[in-house]
Amino acid sequence: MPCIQLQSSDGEIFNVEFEIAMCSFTIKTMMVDLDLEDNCEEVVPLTNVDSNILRKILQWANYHKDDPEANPEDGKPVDRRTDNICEWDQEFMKVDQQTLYGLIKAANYLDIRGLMALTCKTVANMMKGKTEEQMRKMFNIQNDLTPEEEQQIRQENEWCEEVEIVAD
Amino acid sequence: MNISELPPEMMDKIFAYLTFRERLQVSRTCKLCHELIFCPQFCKRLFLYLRSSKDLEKPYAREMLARCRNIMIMCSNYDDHQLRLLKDYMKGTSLKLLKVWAENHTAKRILETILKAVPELKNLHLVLLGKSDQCTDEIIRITHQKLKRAVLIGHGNYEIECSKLTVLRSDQVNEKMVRSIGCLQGQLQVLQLCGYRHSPHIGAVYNVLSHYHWDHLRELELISSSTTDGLEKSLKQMPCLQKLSLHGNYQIFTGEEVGAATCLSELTLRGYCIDTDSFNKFLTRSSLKRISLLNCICCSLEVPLKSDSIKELTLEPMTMCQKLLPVFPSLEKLDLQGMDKTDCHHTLLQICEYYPKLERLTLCVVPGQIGTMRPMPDSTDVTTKNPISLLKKLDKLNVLHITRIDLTGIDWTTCEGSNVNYIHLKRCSIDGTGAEKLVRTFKHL
Repeated sequence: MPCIQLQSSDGEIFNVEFEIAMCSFTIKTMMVDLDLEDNCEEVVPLTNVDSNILRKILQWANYHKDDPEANPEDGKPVDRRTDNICEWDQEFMKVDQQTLYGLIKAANYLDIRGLMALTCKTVANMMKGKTEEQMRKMFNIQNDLTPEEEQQIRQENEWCEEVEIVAD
Repeated sequence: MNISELPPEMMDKIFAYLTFRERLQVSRTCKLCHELIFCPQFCKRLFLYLRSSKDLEKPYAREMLARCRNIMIMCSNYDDHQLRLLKDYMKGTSLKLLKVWAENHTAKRILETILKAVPELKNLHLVLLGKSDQCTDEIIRITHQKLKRAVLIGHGNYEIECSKLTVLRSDQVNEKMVRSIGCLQGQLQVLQLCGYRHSPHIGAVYNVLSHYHWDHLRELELISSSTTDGLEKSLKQMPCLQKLSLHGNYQIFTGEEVGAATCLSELTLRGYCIDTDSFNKFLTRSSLKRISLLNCICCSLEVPLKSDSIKELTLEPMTMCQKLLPVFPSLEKLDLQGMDKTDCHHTLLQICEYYPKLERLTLCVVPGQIGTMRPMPDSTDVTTKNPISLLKKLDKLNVLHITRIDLTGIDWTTCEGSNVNYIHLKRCSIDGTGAEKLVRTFKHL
């Protein structure tokens, strides 16, 4: 199995199966652009991803390597559900918030769509069903709204409904 | 790192998994979240409800009105001062959709004040709440340069002057409306004069339709006049008409009436008595792709409808053809609405036999009634025992909708090998093992 070498921001080098590294569109394009496809000696530097995060990502990519490739233009409605996370992924997402945000940023930078969806769904699930106070506590958000502003936003919200038809 | 340190575009991706209400909830946590949630993309989806004229006096009214693209003004009295406020607040906003629910007089005043202030308006939806006997002589003028679609419901006298208007829907057919429609000749793409009130002015509508040219009209919905002559003449003036919907009063329909519409691909008939033989002749000549027969009856009980070109069919209720479903061998999409006496088994047998190319099937029973598809365990014949097993014969079928049908006791495993990948059950009863088997049997679900 051909491998490529990925280097994390803190200098650690990972030997990764070619097929697994290809889950990242960023790496894929890099390989094509730099014409590295046949050259396994070259080290690909990932300056935005540290070794902890990269190790997690590779673990995820290894588990999901046989997943069918999602094609965003195949006409299917965009998946907006958050209750369809498989058990392995749920277990995998049991990490502290630091790691979670690290994974979101890395998944975005490396353009790994499945992981991006998983991490965003996980954060969305943490927000669902909570009052604003519970949310502030959960995410350690400083409440910078004055009581008047809070009141105003609340009243504004009462005015709003979702539009039923999207007018152009 | 704190969540608020994530770049905004990633926050947007997270918010995408939240419902509208959940997003509002998040917007209340801090300034940054409020700002991120109320992005222009989100504001496009916002619908502002002005439930009372007093809402205008709230301190943030100006800001909210300025941000919103869609506004609904509900019945309320607006005095001159409030109307001025409304106009002031709306001036220069990029309002796209305006809905007004009000009495004639209020609606008139609101429209006359606002329309000038919102040059970007594309959609107007007006519901007049007055009863027909309260209809006054007051004329509601709708004058706008960019308005594209107008829906006008309720009794009123409208005068429409909109050079960009392409879609007009109304249930009000009176002299003023007829005149307005005449003025829109050549520009209208969709005209729907629906509503069930048989208006004495419908003849006048046909007069207007048959005297002008309607080169861009693609969609037309009308109440039939007593004579078919007006309809034929009108259709001759509409070279591009693709979609036609007619409301009848159980007159005979032969197909000749709409023969002049040569591009027609979709036909909906509501309340007609169909002359099967002539209609079949019409079907062979036409290039219809989609046909809906709603509350229609067939003159002949022995001869089925036939067509090789039709791909989509809706029958409501299906009793008219229960014994003889139309013979449409190219059919890809079928919508059937039955009654509780409907013999689903017999129907399924026919469907399998007649429509080998079927891709989507909807079986539905009218509200308030429940259909059955109970298996008969004593029978030796597999298909009688389990009518649903017939579905696997339709190898193109991939979407199945079933509404208000009792599905208990069905052995879904007999459908093994079916290509159905989407099943929507609504108000059906189904037992636990049935549901389990269902999920196991349809592997691509």
